[in-house]
Amino acid sequence: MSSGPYNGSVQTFKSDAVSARDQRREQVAALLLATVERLLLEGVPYSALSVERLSNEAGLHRSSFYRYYADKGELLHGLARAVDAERSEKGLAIWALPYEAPRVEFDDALLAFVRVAWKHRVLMGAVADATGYDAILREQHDETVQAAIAFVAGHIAGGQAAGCVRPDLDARPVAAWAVYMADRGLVTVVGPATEDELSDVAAALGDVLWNTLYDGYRDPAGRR
Amino acid sequence: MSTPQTRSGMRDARRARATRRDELVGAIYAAVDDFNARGVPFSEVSVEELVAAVGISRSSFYRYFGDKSEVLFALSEDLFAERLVAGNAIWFVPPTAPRTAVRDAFRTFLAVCWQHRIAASAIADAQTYDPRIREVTTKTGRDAVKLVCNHIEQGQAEGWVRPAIQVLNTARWLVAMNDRGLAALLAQAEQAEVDRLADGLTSIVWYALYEGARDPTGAESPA
Repeated sequence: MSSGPYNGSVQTFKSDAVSARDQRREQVAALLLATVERLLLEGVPYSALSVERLSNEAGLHRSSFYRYYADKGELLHGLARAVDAERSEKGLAIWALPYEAPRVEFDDALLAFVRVAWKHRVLMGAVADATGYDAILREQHDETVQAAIAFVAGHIAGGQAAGCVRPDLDARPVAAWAVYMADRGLVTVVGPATEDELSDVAAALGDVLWNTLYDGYRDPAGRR
Repeated sequence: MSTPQTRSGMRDARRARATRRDELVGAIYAAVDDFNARGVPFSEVSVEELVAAVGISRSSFYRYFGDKSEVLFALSEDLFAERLVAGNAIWFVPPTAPRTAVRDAFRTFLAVCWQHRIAASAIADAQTYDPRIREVTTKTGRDAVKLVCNHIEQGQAEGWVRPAIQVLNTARWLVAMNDRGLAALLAQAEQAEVDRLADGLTSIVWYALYEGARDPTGAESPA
């Protein structure tokens, strides 16, 4: 955002050792994400996975696991954060499109959002199950949801000022419902779909959102 | 084996037991709200604390509920039955009715949901680890999708729902709102905000399904 020009220089303050450790941490996180998702796909529930087995399957020493995570619960927090970040990046991209962008770009952004959720569907399912009793997971996810609601509400209000979004929508509640619909639907609608069905699933969400927000106010062909 | 009770006598006894259990469920709702107001989530309430709050003995508690998880199960059955009536009413608003009638149906539905929002949050959490509660919520979701599908199909056939939208996927996305989003939004909401939330929900459903195909002032729908 506003700190753009200074972003690069911050990096140089970090010592090489710190950045090497950060790099290693990211590698381990990516490795464990892939391993957990593979095992979940094979039908092993997260609750049945031991740190021993996880480390073995990932080709890590147990002590490396414990260097980065206190336990399996903390690993799940980390994995959920990573997937949430990937998801919200694609989600926010839908609303960051300029109001003049054509419908096809809106649809493409939605499909990318749905695809990334589908890719991580087994992990998201395990996380959704764990949120029932894990307060940290819940708070973590709630932060993402609240940030998304604020972003979409801003998009609606901005579009109304520009004449590209239906003027009678109450930005805040409509944004909240839309975000919760997408958030929950990624688990209940996208999760069980086959890969072939994803474009239809995304198109249906696209119609709900386009028709609610833009139909009659934003040109589907795109214009200045 | 002695069977002194007549068939109707047994029926009366069963009915009395069911009535007593319903009364207890009502008292437990109040207790759940009470605990929550004091910052204690229902998952952390013991049976001892619960029976003390409801004002019954442990033994009568166990006469009606096998254990604490059965309490939440009983609440979920009760809650979903109550919500079902108000929820179904939304989709049975006649297509010739004005948009305000749809809005009022959503306001009624959310008012019912708001009343038991604390128990609903506890149930939404419990469904993630309690298979019996999950069964209730899954079935509720499935029934809702079916109902909305029929509504869209009928509306498209009769010309009061947008012709180009998909039936099943649209229904699934719309029903996805009626889940944790509902629980989360209502848990945070003051009573005064409930109508505003209902009106936001009405906008989404109206514009996604009816706009252009149905008259918002409620004149005759196209034949």
